[in-house]
Amino acid sequence: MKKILIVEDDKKIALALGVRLRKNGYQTILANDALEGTALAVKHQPDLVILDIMMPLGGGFSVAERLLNLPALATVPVIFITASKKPGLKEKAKELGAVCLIEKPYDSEKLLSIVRLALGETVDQHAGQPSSPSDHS
Amino acid sequence: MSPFSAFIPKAWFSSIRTKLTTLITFLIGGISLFIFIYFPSRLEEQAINAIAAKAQSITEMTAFSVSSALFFEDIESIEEALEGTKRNKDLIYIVILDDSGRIIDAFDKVRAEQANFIQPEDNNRVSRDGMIYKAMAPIILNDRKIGQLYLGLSLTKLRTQVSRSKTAIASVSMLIFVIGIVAVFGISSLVIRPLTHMVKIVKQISDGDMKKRASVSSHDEVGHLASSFNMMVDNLQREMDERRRAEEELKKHRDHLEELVEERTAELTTANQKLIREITERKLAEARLAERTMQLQRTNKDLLRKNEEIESFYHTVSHELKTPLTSAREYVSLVLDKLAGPLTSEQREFLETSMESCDQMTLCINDLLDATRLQTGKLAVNPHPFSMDKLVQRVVALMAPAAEDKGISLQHVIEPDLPDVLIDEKRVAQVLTNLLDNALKFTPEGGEIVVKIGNSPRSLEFVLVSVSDTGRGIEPDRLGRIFDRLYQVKESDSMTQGGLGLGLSICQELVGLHGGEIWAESQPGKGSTFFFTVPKHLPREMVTSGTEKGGENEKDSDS
Repeated sequence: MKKILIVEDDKKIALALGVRLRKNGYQTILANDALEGTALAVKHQPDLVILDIMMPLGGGFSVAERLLNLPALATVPVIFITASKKPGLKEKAKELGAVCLIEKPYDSEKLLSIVRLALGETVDQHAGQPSSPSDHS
Repeated sequence: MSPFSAFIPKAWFSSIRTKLTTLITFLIGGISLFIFIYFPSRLEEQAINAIAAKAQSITEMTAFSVSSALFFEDIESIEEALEGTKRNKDLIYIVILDDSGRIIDAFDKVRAEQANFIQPEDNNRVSRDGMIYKAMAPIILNDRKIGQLYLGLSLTKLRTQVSRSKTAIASVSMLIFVIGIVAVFGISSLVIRPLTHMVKIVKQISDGDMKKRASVSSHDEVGHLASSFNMMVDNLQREMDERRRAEEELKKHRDHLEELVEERTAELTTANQKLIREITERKLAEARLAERTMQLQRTNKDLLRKNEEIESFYHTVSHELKTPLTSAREYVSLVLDKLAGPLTSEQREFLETSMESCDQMTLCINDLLDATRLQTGKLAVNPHPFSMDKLVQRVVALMAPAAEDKGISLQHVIEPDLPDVLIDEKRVAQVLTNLLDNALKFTPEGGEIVVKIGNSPRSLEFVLVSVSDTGRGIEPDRLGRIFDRLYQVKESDSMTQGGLGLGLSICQELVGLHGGEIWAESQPGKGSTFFFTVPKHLPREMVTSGTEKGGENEKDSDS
């Protein structure tokens, strides 16, 4: 079972994400801030890390940077999620080798398909075409 | 020096006139004296010599004439012979002696004896004795001395004659002397006076009276001298006048020059002061400008900071709004996806409405953020060549499900062979999406929405995009105001349709950032058409285009 580390300061969102991912057959580890996220990543060696960007005690970017500096975790795929529309975030994410930056509120189906893609799994019948207009406003 | 020099003042001798006069006076005096002394003595001597010769000849002639008579001692014949001699008025005596010295005959024997007539010796036949000239001659007959003759002549007459001559000579010499003196004075006055006159004139001239001139009274050397001198003084005066005039002119010029210099200096000073004033003013102005610039920079910085703050605030707000929204949507989504158990159809319907509201709210928050960023100038477009065809197809594909849900036909017509456009495709997609969103919102079920892309009939440099719907249309009086920011917020129907009314304002701003225009046409009750233009990518900009980058952004917009 693939392990996914979710680093998200909003516990409700973290919980919802965890529920969805577990229902889709993944093991999830939840962390509420950057420090905990890094510690848990080192401890659990996840297959994928989902990072919120805007968090107390260092954002998702700082976690990604630390992971890149750890040989065992440097190649772990990272997906950023954020409610912020500040300019430059997408570029920064790309710089850190992230798979994708997803804006909140996210479309669950789209998120799942990206998770599968990041984990190198073939897209099965569950993953439909992204159809939410939320990204294009 | 004259022997009189001791008696005569020296100054008097310094004059040529005095010298000349004295010299000539002495000369003439000398000559007169010579004449006076020499000629009378010569005259007397000659007279005496003449008397002597006369006495000799008379004596010898008388001696001869009486010789024969004496021989015969014939007294009468002797008397007769003596008669002629006696006539001589100067004769004082005649004495005839015979050989023995006996007086044979004597005329005026008394006077003869008084005169001591035998005085002269034989060898000295004539002699002078006072006023009597004595002579003696032997009386010879047939070479035999037979007697002796003595004769005395009076010198009185001669003396009278001589003294008369002496007087005449003295008078003449005196006359010569007087004439000489007069002549000297005449000459001196004739020659010296003009000279003295000239000396006086020269002195006056040398004392500065240049008006004085020597009077030319003659045509001699002095006259020439005077006229030459006058000419010289004239020349001198002319030269002096000229020089004075030149000097005056020079002085005037110099004065004028000084005036000029002063004038110029004053002008320069004025100009300088003016310049200094101007420089000071300019410096002041520059200082004010610098201050103003600094103020403006400060204000600008303040504004920028305020903008940053505003933007930051809106970002925070949108973040804080979206986080719970995400949560809400996600939990609804979890239930809808039956991760919390099975659903009734009614429950599903309600939850889907909730989802829609969440999405609507997301759009609102995004619009708000965009509007703010447009307002603060933070939203910039990054245009690059892009295919309008591709963009329209993607947006239409995205909107198609919603149109289908509402039972509205969504078509798009694209003119063939359209060139690429120079756009920030995400922003243009946002504009098109917004317009389609509105069209869907206002078009009733069974209506039709058509998106058309083609060359702009207004400008060759633009592509025209139009979105037509068969909605209720817009009243003409509102048509001009629909692009106003927050316009819809004021309208009552915004409540029924939702949205902050920022959409069209954002569209206008975004199209404007691309250099294009946006406008709307409408027939109330029949429908509306929204138009906007975007610039074509013209060949000259082909060089800077990056299709690769466009591809990447294309991918990003999907995420």
